[in-house]
Parts: sequence; structure tokens; C-alpha cells
Amino acid sequence: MPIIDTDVHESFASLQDLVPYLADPYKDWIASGAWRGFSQPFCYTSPGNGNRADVKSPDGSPSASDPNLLKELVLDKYDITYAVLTGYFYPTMLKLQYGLASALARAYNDYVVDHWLTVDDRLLGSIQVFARDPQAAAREIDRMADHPGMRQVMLPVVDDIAYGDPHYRPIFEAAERNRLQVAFHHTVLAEGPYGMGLHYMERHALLPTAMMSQVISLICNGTFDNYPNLKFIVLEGGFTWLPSVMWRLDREYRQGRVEVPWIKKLPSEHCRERLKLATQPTEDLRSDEWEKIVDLMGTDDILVFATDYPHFDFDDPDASIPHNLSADLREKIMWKNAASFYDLSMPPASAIAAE
Amino acid sequence: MARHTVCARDDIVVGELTPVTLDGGISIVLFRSQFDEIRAFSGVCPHQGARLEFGCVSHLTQGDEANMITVDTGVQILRCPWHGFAFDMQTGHPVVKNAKRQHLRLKIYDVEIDNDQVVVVA
Repeated sequence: MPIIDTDVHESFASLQDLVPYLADPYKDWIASGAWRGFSQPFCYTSPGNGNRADVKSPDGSPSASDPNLLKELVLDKYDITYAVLTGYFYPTMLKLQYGLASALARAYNDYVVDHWLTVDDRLLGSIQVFARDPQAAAREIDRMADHPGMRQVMLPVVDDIAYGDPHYRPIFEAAERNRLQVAFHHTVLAEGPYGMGLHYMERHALLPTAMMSQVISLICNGTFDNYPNLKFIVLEGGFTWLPSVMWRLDREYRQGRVEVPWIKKLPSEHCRERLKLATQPTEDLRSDEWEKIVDLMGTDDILVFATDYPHFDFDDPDASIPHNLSADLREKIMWKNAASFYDLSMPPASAIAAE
Repeated sequence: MARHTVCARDDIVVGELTPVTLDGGISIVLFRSQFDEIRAFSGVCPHQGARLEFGCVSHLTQGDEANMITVDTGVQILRCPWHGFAFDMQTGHPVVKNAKRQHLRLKIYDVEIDNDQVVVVA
């Protein structure tokens, strides 16, 4: 069976890798070590310090910076058809120095093209932007959109941005005019409604609430209605919450449409038609629980598979999605829904049948 | 169907929802528009049974852009006093339709004026 992995993290080995792609003054700033880069505001508690402990580059560099390791441990090992690179470095986390942040996004995109997208045809890319300057982000989207490997715009979920705010519309306009999709992935700044909690486990368990907030913001502020050709994907944000959010939004819309007449459809219809949720981390559901959740969603078109390589909560393609799901559902999750979302050419039907 | 004489025409104040109870206990709200048209609706919200005499009559809001709301004076709506569900007063249909849930159509009754008396057909 083909497999499309919708969430694989790539990175540079150090910020210095971006220096060749920067122009002065930012080139000089980064080259001189004037910024040490982002750091998570907590300790990881997994054996591999946030990554799989068994994933190590031969030269000791961060595992996420080695495309050959990704090829060996994911693409080849599981015979992945396509894997979507979703990044590790999100300039939107910078809250000042907008010029630097936009330059870093631009440099990172060029770095990814040179060091990742050219390495293997199975790799697809996400255009990274500095979302706090939506006009600059739109220019970056326009610049990168012609690259055939780039399939989506990545909007990182931080602690102070709800992307439905009209302020961010230039980004969605740019994505739509370039026929790209829009992805959301949390960052180390993402929070629940009362912050990160007091423990890593607490913070990690709260991440779906940040994604729920983004979906609610996008629906209520008309992003789905204003950009009818856009589709949206939520990565690593859970999926069992979607029925609840859809029910809640539909109910709120019935009683509160007077305030938001720009919403033209039931929120659940928007979600079913144009939202995808990645399965990782799968929460160890039994197959009957998978079937129930999909039934409650009202469509089997929403879920897409992801490994989240190389993170510690990696989902194994062979083990994380139960094999006793119906064949149709399993195929939709493992590749069909993502192939539709990203408009991907899949291997010929004969090759699929031969498996 | 039976004809129920419920009140005098002038007992109904323009713009207000006036409750009446028909023989047999059917709750009705009457509404007299600024154009002097009198209409009769079920007095009970089809959602959870709130008494619609405490609701409000307004016009449908419209808008294609976030934070840009206009009022469509061509569509009058009755909103439930509890949850704010809105019903088109011309058709009784909910403003927000949800095919996967109960339809929640508000029942509309025929009204006749007979010697300045309001007659509801139910």
C-alpha cells in the first residue's frame, strides 16, 4: 500500500547553515553568532530528549539535519511514497526584529530546497514564512510557490496568534493564488488556555487545545468562506476532538449567526469539506474506537497519516494504524486523503495492485 | 382546522409579540408589523420549548467580510429568548439549516380579520 507521511521534520545542523542564504546585515549577524537561535522553554523527558533515542547521525549532528538518515529510517524502511517536510525552525516565533525574521524564513526555504528537496523526489516541502509580517510572508510565498516540491504554507502555532484574525489575510490570499494548501503545526511556544501547565506532560497533552483554537478562529473569522479554494491541515494536534468542535460550532452558529453572517455554511460542513487532521500521535485507539471517531466525524476523508519523524512520539506506519480497520478506511488514512489534499500523482494502479 | 377568535385587532401592539392560548391549549404568539399585517406563530420554540413571547423580532444580518455586518430589512426574523435560534417569519424555516439535526421549523398559522377581531386558523 502507498504511504504518504504528512509530517516529517527536517532541520539544519546549526544556524550557520543559513549564512550562505542570507544577505547583509543579517548574514553578518548570524555568522558572528549574534543570535543563538530558539530554545524550548522546558526540558524534554523522553530518552532521546524530544527525538527518538535510536536516531543518531553518524557524525553526531542533530538527527533531523541528515536527509540520508531520513531516507534510511523512514522513506526506504517503510517504502514511503511521499513525505512532507514540515520544519523545525519557525521564524514566526521571533517577536521582534521583523526584517531579520523574514530574511531567516527566506534563507531557510532556500536551504531546504538545496539540501532536502533535491535529495529525494519523495520529499515535498512547506514554505516557511514570518507570519507576523503578513505582506512579507505573502511575498515569500509568491517567491517560493513555483518550486514543484512546495505544496503548502506552514503557519506555526505560537502563543499569541490566532490565524483567523483578518491581519493574516495576505498570507491566505497568497496561498490561494498560488494553489497551495495551508498547514498548522505547533511550536515550543504553543500553549493551552492557561499556559503550558507545570509539566512537560501537561504541556504536551494541551497541544490539541491550541489547534482547536486555530480551527475555531479560522471558521469564526471567515477564512474558510473568504478563500474557497484553500484547504487546511492540522499536524500533530490530535483528531479525536474534531466531532466535539464541529458540534459546538454548529450549535453556536445556529444561535449566533447574527454576529457572524459571513459564515456561509455550517462550520461542520467547512471542516468536512476542507480540513485534514494528521493522525500522529495516535493515542493508541483500538480499531473499534477509530471507526467510532470516523463515524462521528461524518466522513472518512479527514484523517491523514503522519510519523512525526524524528520525534520521540513517532508513529510507526506498520503499527500505529490498526490493520483490522476496514481496507477502505486504512487506505484513506495511509495515503488517499493526503494524495487528494496535496493533489499528488500516485504510482500507477498496476503497481498498487501488485502489492 | 378550527377558527379561533383570540382578541381584538387593536389589542395587538405594533412590533410586539403578543401571546394567546387557543382552545385546546395551543400557545400562539401574534405579531403585528409596521405595515399592519398580523401573523400568528407557534408560541413554543421547536428547539427546546422556550416561550417565544419573550423572544424578539429583528432583521436578518448579512455580510461577506468579517466585521462588516449589514441588516437585510427584507427578511424579518423571530429569535428565541433562550438560545437565540432565528426563524424566518415569512416561511418559519430556521435561518441556519442543519440537515443532520432536527429541522426546527417554526409553525405558522393562518390569520383572518373578522369585524376587527383576530381569528387564528389552527
